[in-house]
Amino acid sequence: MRVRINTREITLPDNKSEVTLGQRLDFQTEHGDLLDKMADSISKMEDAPDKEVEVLEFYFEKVFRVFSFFSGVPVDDLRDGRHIDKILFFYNASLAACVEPRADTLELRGAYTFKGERWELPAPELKQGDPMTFGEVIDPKQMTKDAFTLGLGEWYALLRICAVFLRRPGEPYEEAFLFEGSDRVKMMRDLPLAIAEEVAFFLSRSITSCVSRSMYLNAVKPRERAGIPSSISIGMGGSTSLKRLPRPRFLTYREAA
Amino acid sequence: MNSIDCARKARAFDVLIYASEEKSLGEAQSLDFEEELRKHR
Repeated sequence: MRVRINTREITLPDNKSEVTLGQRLDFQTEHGDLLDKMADSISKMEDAPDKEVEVLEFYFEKVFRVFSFFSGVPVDDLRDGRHIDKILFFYNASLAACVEPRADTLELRGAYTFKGERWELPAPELKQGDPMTFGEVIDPKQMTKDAFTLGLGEWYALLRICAVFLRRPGEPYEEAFLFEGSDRVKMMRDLPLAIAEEVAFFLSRSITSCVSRSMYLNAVKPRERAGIPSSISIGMGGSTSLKRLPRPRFLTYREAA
Repeated sequence: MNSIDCARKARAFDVLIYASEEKSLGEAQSLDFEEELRKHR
């Protein structure tokens, strides 16, 4: 979508297929973390007229920052209010959909075209004979846990999850896909956000499937009788639980009917 | 290749099933052990 503001012609994305995962990650670093803190702060306020004013201010702050990020116009130049009607129109028409999580249902296609090649996701349900290795399960899990512990956020984690799970047909998993600055991670920065969302959706389905089928991944319940250890861990990783991870917002999509 | 690398290269389904079975076995053995201790007190 081409927009003219003053003498400048600006190209804005129409939907998530025109936004890359790298752009979304950069937006989160430049503006998103600040906006999230503002939203948290407002949500803790008591319901009062002051809160309504803060909510309105937050909304405009978000609109300006999103528009600024995609247009390249500095935020301060947008705040003068001369083009507020146009900015709001373009934000609501397309930009909001580029940065907000999808509220509707998502269909998992499983195969995609990216950079002129076919890329596939594995089946989300782990079955006997499934070629997925344990490394593919445990590496992204540990990486996601570390990312949240270090405060790197869900988009940082999603970039690397895409590097692990989205592969060319028949391509085996390599631990090097996850390495910082690896070619695969760099490549996934160009992945359209629409596909990255499906990878996140695949992961939520996969985790649900694993946790429901494997006692190993279930949280250990406290023992009712005294004298019995509350956790008996034999095997890789002990009695760990995916449920202990902070729940990223990208895991909230529902499966398409 | 050490045992951790072996597990990483093994199929996830097999590793998770094995770990679940081992966990069940460990819990069952712990319960038996506790029962034996109770008998001998």
